[in-house]
Amino acid sequence: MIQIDLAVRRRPEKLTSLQFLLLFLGILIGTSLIVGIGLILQWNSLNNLADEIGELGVKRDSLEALEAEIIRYKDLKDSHSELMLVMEDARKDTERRLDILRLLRTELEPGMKFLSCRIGPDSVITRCLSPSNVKVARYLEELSRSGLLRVIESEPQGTRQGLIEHRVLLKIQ
Amino acid sequence: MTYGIDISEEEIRWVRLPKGENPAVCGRILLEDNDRSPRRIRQVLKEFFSRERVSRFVFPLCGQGVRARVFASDKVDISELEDNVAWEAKFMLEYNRHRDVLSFDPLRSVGSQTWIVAVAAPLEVIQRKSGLFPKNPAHIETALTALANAVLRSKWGEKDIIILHLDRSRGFLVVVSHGNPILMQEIPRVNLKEARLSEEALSFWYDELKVRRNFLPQDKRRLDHFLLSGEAALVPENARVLGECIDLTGEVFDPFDGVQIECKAGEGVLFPLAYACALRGK
Repeated sequence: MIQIDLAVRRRPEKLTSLQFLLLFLGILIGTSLIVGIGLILQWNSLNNLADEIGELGVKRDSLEALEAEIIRYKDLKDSHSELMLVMEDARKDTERRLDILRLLRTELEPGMKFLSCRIGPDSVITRCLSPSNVKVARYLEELSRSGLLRVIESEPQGTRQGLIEHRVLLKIQ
Repeated sequence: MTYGIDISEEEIRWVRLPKGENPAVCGRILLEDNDRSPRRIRQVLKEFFSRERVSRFVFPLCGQGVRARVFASDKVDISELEDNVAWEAKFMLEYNRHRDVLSFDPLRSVGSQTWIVAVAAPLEVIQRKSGLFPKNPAHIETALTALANAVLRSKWGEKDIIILHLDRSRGFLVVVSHGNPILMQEIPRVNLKEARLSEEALSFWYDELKVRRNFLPQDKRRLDHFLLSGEAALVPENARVLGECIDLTGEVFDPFDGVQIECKAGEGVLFPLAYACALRGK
């Protein structure tokens, strides 16, 4: 088979002035279009960003309000806790006083009468009437035995209604 | 798949050889009478390439300035052979290296001689014809070597025959002797007016064939057959009558003889150039 080959590579065609002008205009218009579209898209995204910034500002304000509420709530909670502690202390103090008062009354010997008492933070002063000093001695002994009180001193204050009035100073344990 | 695409004045003829499950196909695209401008041909080819998904093709080059010559050389050394080709190209093909493209191919050796075919074509013609196609061709044949190849690949290849490919406005003459083309000429100013050759046309072709036969060496003038292809061969009677003009048995040349191809009956004679070009892809 005869294998001749006359193929030659095509040279790239040169552009005429009109083609060059059209190409230039095409590139210019194309570039302008692309830049224009890019700017519009950028403008839109900037607008969206501004809207988002506005929304974030509103959220920030509401969060600040919430934070103030939370701080106020924490203050109230602290106050409440303090009050609860005070109430607890008061309750404990009242219970202690009631225990002491109950002890002072229940340990009275037969014939003795309870007149009054003043309970301090660490001491109790009580007044009572007794037919005899012996009964007062037994009374004081029972109070000491309770472990709650310790007798500091006891002194007769005279007589009332035919009974001996005693003033007793006790130390709270 | 390589397509062979032959553009004549009136139509585009194409051949695709079989590959895998794709059968061989040929086709014609008629160009409208009122518009055969290069622009229109380019448009038609672009549509064809797009429709057929053509990626590789070969086309035959013909026209003014396309010359072919076959000669024998007794040179063995390649540089001496090239000198021989250069001499033949310069003096017999009027090859001008500033204007033309030259290609040559050593054919078979007979005794101590090597037969060589050389072709030259103006670069401007090559570029103008290539520019009709949307892609670069794989090769560019000449119509003369394509016609010779078509004959050499057929059952006539080893005989002494003269073949005339005659279309409405172009004609190519090739003489093949014992497997070598020995004469290849394009006939200028062809104007085939009627399908059946008239007395006037027969007289013209009688003179043409007789004169061109005289280009052959004395010992090569004894031929076996006259073959006719192209549009003139659509009327088989033309082959017989033209053969009688030069005292040979005339027959039509169908390059698809023995080839399985989808082609309308009797139209195979139109495709020797496109078929030979498609063969370059094998």
